[in-house]
Amino acid sequence: MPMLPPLMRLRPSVSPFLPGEGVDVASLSEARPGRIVDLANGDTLALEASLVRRTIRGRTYVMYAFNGQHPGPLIRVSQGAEIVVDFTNRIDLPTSVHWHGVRVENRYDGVPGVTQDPVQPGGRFMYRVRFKDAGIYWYHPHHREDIQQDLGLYGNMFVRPLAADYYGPANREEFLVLDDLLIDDAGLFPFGEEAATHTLMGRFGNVFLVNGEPDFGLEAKRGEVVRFFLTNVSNTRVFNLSFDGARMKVVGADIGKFEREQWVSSVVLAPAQRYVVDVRFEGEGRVALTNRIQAIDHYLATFKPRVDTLAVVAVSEKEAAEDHAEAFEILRENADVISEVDRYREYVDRAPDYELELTLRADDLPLTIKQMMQLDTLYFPPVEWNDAMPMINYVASSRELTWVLRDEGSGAENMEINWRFQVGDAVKIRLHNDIRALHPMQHPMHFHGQRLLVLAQDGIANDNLVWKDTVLLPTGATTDILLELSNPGRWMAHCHIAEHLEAGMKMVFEVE
Amino acid sequence: MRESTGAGRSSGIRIQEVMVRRSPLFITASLYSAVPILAVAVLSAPKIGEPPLTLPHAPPGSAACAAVAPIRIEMTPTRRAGGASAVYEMRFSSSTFGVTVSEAGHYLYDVEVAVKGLPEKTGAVFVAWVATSDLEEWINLGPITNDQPIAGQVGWNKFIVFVTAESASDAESWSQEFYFSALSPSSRMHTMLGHGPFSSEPCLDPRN
Repeated sequence: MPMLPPLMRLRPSVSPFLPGEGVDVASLSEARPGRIVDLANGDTLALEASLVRRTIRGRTYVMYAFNGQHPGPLIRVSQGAEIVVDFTNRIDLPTSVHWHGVRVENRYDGVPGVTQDPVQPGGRFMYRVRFKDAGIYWYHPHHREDIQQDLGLYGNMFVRPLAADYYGPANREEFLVLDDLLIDDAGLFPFGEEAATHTLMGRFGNVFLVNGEPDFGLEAKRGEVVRFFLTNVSNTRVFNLSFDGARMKVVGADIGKFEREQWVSSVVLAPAQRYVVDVRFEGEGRVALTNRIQAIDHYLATFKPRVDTLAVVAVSEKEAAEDHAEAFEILRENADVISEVDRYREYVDRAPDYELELTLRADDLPLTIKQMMQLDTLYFPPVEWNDAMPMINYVASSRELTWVLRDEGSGAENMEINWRFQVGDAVKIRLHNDIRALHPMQHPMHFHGQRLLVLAQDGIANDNLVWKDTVLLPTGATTDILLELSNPGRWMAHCHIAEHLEAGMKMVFEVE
Repeated sequence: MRESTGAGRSSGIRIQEVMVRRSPLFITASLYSAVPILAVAVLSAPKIGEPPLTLPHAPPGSAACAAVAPIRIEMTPTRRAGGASAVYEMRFSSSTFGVTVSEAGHYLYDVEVAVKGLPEKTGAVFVAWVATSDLEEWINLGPITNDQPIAGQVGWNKFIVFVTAESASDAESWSQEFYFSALSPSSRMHTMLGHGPFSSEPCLDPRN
């Protein structure tokens, strides 16, 4: 994306950082593909974060990995199981492990400064993780996520539901972890050492990775119904995913099933979100998993269609052993979910208990950037699908700007906020994504330790609820959520754009 | 668990039945007829703010909706419109994902157009249209009166909303009798090509 010459000369106010300084890359083990680890109640998993050598399209980089795998091991358990994770930090930064979406005991939530001290290099921490809810989850560091998560520290957790017919029939399950990595001619693009760079829009990558691979492939049989569990682990990118020519229905999201299954033409997947989709591959051939967006070119003020192939499914002529075609045509209505969320439906018409404004304070940006941004206030897209202002974004570190959560009741901001609730409370929170900010942007808001329902957006009630932990707030949107307070402790809520989190967009709430 | 039968290839996103036309034969003529629209639309930027006219279809009254509103754009009248006014509102079509886009990534909006104070015009009906900003595609949203707004779904990056007088409500293309027009907010996206503080800087060749 071209930028104006004065902008191309700007550099961030922080030192460049890449991992493994002074380390001979040849001495590191090559990262291996992620493996599935089936764990039973009471089992212990040894999990180690370490430096690895990573070869992508013939070029070698120093990155991080859990247990030497990209992505980290997929932890598969049954609903209700509890495991112990014996974690060791072998990377060159302090870290921690957060069990995203899992309603764990507070002290194991993995948030430095809130639930634990960071695990120093060489240090250990024992996590006890109980999986209360069926669903697809993921684990990642909660300390300098912008670096550590981007460089490979992530993995899925799949919690098998107790009921065998929880979902409809499928021939098999596949877990796809979606990411992007920023690489230029010199190698991995450096991060900020003292503070995060790319804090305006987050760090977009230019190499797409599915399960850690730039050219990921799968095989399927003709007529197979494959259940895909999709997780977005990128720092900031929102995907618009489709399987070209194959029909897709969305059956679940972060924490379990929707009230009703739906046919969809694409899935919008924001950072940290998960969706569960069933796809039937009807004919022999190659089916691409694509990300299709209308990218913005700010230089010319135009939209440009962009299609990236993230993976390819090779469908063989051999027929699936079991034909689920008939069941695939049925959109299930899940009475168990409907009855569970029924008790919260009355909140749709209630006044909110709390209101949060999501905005930006950017007083210390370089003057040239502020002038440019002040000129560019006539249109803000609901979602920034691509990095339309890469140099402005790059030089904006968390030293120059602060992303803000503002409690509209008290005026408190970010970590000054300390909402207090009781276990058993349910609160309605109205989230305003301020379109008057200098550079408004979408925010995937994540609430730790609890479940939430998206009740309404921009005044339109949501007629198909699902339990979630991360909600995408488009630019300018007003979204009502119901936060169910079921898990005691001090919990964090924050934007899951890693650079926005580093730039202050976080708060704490306490459940007693 | 209850079950219901699927709806075939429906995407789950509500698509209203609207008339979409794209014809090379129309384009040349349309470009001529569009000149007044473009002139008005480009020279007079649409205003977002407190309009003199509100749509009767406010969101269902509830606390859920009290604090929010769709994007509301006052349309620019031509001289024909006299003292009449028009406004269009747009909001995301309903979606599971919080943001509503097509498979190709176009935002999908529900657009509703309302007029007020339009005079009777014998032998003609007023019709609301939406067209891409290059006028290669357009949708006849349908007839519109002072009492009856008209709605449809739009899935284009940049578009123009306009009202014309036609001999039939199902006209395939518009005539030259324009009454109102307004650009989509996306049409006002700012180009960063040399202006303001950078107007003296050499611009990069955007073709490179």
